[in-house]
Amino acid sequence: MKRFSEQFKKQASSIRLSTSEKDVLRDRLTAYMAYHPITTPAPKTATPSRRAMFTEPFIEWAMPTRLYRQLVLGCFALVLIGVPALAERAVPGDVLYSMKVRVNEEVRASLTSGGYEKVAWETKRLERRISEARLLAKEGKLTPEIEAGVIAAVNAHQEAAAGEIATLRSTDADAAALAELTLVSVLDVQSAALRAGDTASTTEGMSTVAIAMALDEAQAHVEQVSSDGVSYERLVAQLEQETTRGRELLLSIKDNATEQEYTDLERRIGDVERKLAQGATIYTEDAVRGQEFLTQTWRDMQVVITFMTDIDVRSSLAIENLVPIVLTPEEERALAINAYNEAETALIKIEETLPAVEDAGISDKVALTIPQIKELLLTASTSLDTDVVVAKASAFEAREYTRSIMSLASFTNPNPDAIMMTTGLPDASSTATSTDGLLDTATDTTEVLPETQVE
Amino acid sequence: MAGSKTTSTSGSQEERFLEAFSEYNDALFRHAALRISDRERAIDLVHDTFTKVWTYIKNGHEVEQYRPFLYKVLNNLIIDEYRKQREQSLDALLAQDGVTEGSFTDLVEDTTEALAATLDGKQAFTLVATLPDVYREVLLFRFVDGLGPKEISELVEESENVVSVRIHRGLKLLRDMIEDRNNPDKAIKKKKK
Repeated sequence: MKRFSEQFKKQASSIRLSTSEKDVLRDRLTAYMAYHPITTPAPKTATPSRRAMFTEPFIEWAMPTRLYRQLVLGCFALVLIGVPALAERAVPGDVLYSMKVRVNEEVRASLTSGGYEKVAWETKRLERRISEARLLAKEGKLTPEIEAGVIAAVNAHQEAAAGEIATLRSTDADAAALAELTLVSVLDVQSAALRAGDTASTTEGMSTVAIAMALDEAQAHVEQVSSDGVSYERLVAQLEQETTRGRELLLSIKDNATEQEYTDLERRIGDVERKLAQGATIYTEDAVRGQEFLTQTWRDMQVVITFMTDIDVRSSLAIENLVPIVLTPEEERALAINAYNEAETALIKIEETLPAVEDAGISDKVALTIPQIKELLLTASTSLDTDVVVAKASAFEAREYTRSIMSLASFTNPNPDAIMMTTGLPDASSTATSTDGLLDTATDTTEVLPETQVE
Repeated sequence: MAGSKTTSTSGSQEERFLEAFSEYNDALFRHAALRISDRERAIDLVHDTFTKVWTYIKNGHEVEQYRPFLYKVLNNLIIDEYRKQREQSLDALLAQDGVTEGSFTDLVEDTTEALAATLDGKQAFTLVATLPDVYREVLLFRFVDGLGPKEISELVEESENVVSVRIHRGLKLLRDMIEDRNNPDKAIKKKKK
């Protein structure tokens, strides 16, 4: 075995690299080492004995550099991202609340450029204070001290916003006026939401009336110093921007809002877009009226945006109360037709019932009103294709008369025998369409026929 | 076996690595050249072996014992080389030869010793290149590189038992080939049988 092994090895030993091959190989290798140097120091190899570890005053723990680096980066990430993110959820009384107000918000304030953005941010901060107060009130944690703090913060933000507006006015009067309008709209909505929320949670929550009053004062103060209007061009441009922003916001809340809320808000943005076009028409006829119309549209848009960005406002208030629906021409036409049909059907019924009415006074008054109703119906039918607004107004007026007459006792409970003999008409309500039922609630009225008209 | 992150070092990583190069470049080249029968390619494989080990060190690892680690890397590269050349796999070679690994229980060390004692090393060396690689591999590790069965078993990732059987069978094959060469008539008769 030994002999075989030695012979075998001896034969093999003749196979070797030449000196030049070795040199080339070494050069290639050192070049590779130079291009791929060791970047991390060699791991510590001296491991202290167990005894030494526990007798030394300070225990040394050899941590791998990579782990150490990851830990340091992790700590930085926690401090720079995690804690501020956590602080964003803080409310007055929380440990991280100071960080939210004094660090997060101040940093963000310092990052805003331009006077208009600064006012917008101060307005947003004001909204945040109110949201916090509302949340605490709901949970029954709104102590007088916190409430006082919120009021002070609201005043501070309002003053800061007013200060920025004053500065902005010297350079961009339109932007200052728009910022002012926005601030007033926000104060208005938040105040209304606070009052609504306050009445809704009197049993469990705490009152926020004091804060609402502070908002009212702030609003009055802003409106008092406000003077300038906004130019038509600037209003149009800003409104176009705001509607785009509104669409984006709407998309972002799609998953959080209820179907009804989403539909309502989508409708309101559509209304603003229509008003924008309508404002242009009005402006060509009357510049001042057009500007006023668009200014109101701007305020409506700000309210809509507040509804979209503040879930508490959505839950406390009905948007219809602050920004009513604006009907499209098609809807106006549909309403006019419905009102016309209802009035016409009722008129037939009135005429058929009239002979059976025993009260002579009522009978005379109704007989005098019938021609007037007929004239209104004629105006409605002739102007339906030319002027839907006139058609709708005439049809609605005619319907009001018929409803008033039909509500009189003589017509609600006339001589049944006489009616049976004279009418076979269906009930007027059966002719009403679903659109009428949906949209007519705002215009429905129970007013009786004015005496002057009857006479 | 080879890589460790906590072993002691003497001198810098670079120095130890270059020392290992000086010490083992010939042995590794020899092994590679005998395994793949291509001098230029063997030089490349040695180069690749050292660059891979350097990359391993560069990534923060430390090599405790260079020799087995270098052999392990080289062996893997040789196997890759075989695969690249689309040669038959080791399993296919075993199946083709009708060889099964068997058990070492019927073999004892002195049997291998006795077998080796009967062989002429010079002749065996000239014939080793014709052996299937599974046998050539273990014979070269054993008789050229001087590794023990346990070290070889770690390199080829087989049990010591399998390595010993392969060495024994490789020697037996060499003996048969030598006998055939020395006695052509006997070889013909054997083939006829």
